[in-house]
Amino acid sequence: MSLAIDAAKGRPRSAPSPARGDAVFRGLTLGAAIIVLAVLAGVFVSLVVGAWPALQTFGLDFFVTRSWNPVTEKFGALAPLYGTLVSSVIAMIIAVPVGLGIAIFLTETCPRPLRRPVGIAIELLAGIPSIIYGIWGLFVFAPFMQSVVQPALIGSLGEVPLIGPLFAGPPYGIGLLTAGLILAMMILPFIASIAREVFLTVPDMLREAAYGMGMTRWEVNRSIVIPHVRSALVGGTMLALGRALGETMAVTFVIGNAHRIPGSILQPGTTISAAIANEFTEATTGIYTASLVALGLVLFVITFLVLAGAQLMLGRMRRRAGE
Amino acid sequence: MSSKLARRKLVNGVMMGLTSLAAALGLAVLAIILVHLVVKGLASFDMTLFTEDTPGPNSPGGLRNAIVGSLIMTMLAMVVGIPVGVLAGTYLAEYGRFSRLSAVIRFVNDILLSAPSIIVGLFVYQMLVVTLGHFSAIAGTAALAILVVPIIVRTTEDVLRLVPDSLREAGLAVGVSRWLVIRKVVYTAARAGIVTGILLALARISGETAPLLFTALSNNFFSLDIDAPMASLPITIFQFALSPYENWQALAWAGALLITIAVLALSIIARLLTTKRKTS
Amino acid sequence: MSDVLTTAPTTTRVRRGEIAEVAAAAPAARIDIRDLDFFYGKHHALKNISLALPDRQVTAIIGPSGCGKSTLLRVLNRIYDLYPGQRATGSVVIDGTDVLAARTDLNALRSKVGMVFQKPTPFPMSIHDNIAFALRLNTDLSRAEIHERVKTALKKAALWNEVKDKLDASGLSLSGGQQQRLCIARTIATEPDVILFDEPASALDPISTGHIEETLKELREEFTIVIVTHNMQQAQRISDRTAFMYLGELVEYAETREVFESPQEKRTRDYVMGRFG
Repeated sequence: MSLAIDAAKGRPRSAPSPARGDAVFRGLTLGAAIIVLAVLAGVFVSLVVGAWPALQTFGLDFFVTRSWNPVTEKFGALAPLYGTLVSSVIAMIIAVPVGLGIAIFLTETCPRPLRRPVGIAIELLAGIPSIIYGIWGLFVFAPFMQSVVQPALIGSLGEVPLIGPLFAGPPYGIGLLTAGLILAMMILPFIASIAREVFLTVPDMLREAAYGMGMTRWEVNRSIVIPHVRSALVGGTMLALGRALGETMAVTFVIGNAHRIPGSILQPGTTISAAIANEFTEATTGIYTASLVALGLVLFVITFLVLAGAQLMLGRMRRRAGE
Repeated sequence: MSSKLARRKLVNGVMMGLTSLAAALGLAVLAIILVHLVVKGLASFDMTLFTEDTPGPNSPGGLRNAIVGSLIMTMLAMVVGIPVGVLAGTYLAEYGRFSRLSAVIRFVNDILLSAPSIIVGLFVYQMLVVTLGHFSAIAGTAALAILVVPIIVRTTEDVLRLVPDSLREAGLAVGVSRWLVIRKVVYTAARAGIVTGILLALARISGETAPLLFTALSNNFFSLDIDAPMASLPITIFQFALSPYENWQALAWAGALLITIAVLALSIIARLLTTKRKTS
Repeated sequence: MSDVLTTAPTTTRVRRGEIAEVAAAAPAARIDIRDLDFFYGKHHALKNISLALPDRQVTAIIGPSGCGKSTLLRVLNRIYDLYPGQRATGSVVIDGTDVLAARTDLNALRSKVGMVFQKPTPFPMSIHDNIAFALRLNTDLSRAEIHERVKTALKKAALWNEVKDKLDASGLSLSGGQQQRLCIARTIATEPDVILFDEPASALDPISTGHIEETLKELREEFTIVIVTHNMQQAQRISDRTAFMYLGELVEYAETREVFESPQEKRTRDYVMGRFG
């Protein structure tokens, strides 16, 4: 009752015409929401427009050409595309199992009083800006790779037939593998915290039923928990992949920025984002700039597809949880 | 049978041991990075960081212009991004909760949330730098604002949806118009959550480098002119770290420590706010 | 052992605090619970429970919500161990194994003491694998042998005819009642000695409930069954013996007919006549 009176009293003061106020506010919120749409559309259109001269000049060859030569003005996306994919794949190979391991640790093995602090620490790792990983990677991690890890890899895996060439020397420190490892550190906390969140949606009763059959913790997690949330895990992993593909600063510091497709993952290469970051302000000619924007367009399309896939997979889980 | 069980237990022990190892690895990475940051950052950490501008090679100086530039662009980006983000989040959670348009916007917003920030830089370059004809803090601000919006949209929508419908219905039932219910009732109930989202967005853009590279560019001098290139901490770290000069590298570490402290502090405050909301 | 049912005692009665002497009277007690107390943190959920459950009979545990009947069931396979702050004292012996002892192998215990839950809990795999999964873990059976066991289990759970053409379909694609029978099949395939049912029909429609009850009656031939139910008609229909619990105490434990027709305790009388709960 008192609320009604207050509202009645308040109305003339704060909004002479409530219906109009409502319409204006509604319009404002709708307008803001449309801005979100407009930004994505704007990104796409501006990239296409900016990339057009390059796409027109090189056509589809742009995507299969290795050379990147500002002097002769021959540009191709193959080398940065290769570096982007390889460094991301290395990152995923390491970060997915370790991230799942951390998530299982946090939901199963970890002593209860430690669960919150450890979980928070892992999430803080996710908040550290990429430039920090970059400077740390350049000054601390790359020298460590050069003096310890890479010589060991060259000495051991480098001798193995078939995969040997992937680990051929000399040890530069920087390169595809180092970039992949830094990326792995960056996406690890994402994967771990998404997986933990997803594991917690598994109903207690399903876990109990599995334990009730006499399964061990590992069997319950491997055969029941993970399959139960499979699509959400795939979605979360794709989200992390999207981040790895587009990550710029951490990679730019340690990849070596060489426009080539190295046979060995120990050697310098480049990625799309690193190439743009390094060269964009130096690009003097129109076609050079347009080629860099075209690289950006390629990256945008790839990450869009990966992230869209991730949303679809995660959406499936949300719908199920909502039921 | 019992040997089979023994094997299963062994596998279990090994695998669960590996999960502990994974967690130890993750924590070790965090610890090692923080230790290096603190040790190397503190080595050149003193008050001149805040009182002097970025120096030339091999001469003394600080990071004042970069710190001020970062503060200006970050704050302006928040000023632009917060209203847009909160209003758009409000549309998704309130007026447009069930509309098809909202489903599309939600999808697009989630993609923008994880889209590469360097792409945003390219977009703003095309839109503002090319049309205005020069790099500027305005362009840098725009790029950061574009990164802010999706984070705030998402957290705002999430926390508004946590507000029980009975509260809205109670307001509407006594004849208060929808927008007043949202402003007076829903926002009040969701305030802590919205602030959390804002802090997370602030933490995210505090360290962003890529979108500033070819929008705000950088500036070796102290400048408050937002229509001109402006220095920022991340870009300065990037340039100085990759330089061959030791004093620049030392300043890069000091800047990195500054940013990390700021970002971690913001994340921790945001987390504390969330916990308080959950317990109350 | 086939005459176990006919020689079951008809008059043994237990009151709170006494030790059940069922074991001495007739069929070998499969589960012997003595002086059992259970705590959720500080909450004292089971108070000094002692009772002996006979082999190859259906024992129903009834009582109002919160009386501790589900808790009692969860002690028997130590599933409560998954959660911190839950502990049991006293002794529970199943086939000579002290369930509560710290050194007891929980994996082995739980594969001998199966459990079916309130809601169906099919695993995220095919119908066939839901049953075959635990067999592969526990045994060295060949593919064909496993398939036979799957088939037998599905038949015993009265599900075979409905699923024999879609064994590769997801367990989640079945209806609620079918899922619950799948969970029963999954449990009996591992050939446990004891099966615990925690209100197995509470989430099901009357027809599915009927199916489950039929299945339970047949399983009595092979397994020691303990079922928790809040449905007194169900307890009367399917159980041989009934234990009535109230506020964490065992009030009365006797043959089902006697508990319902001539209860000795006033609280039992009030409950079965529907005066509370």
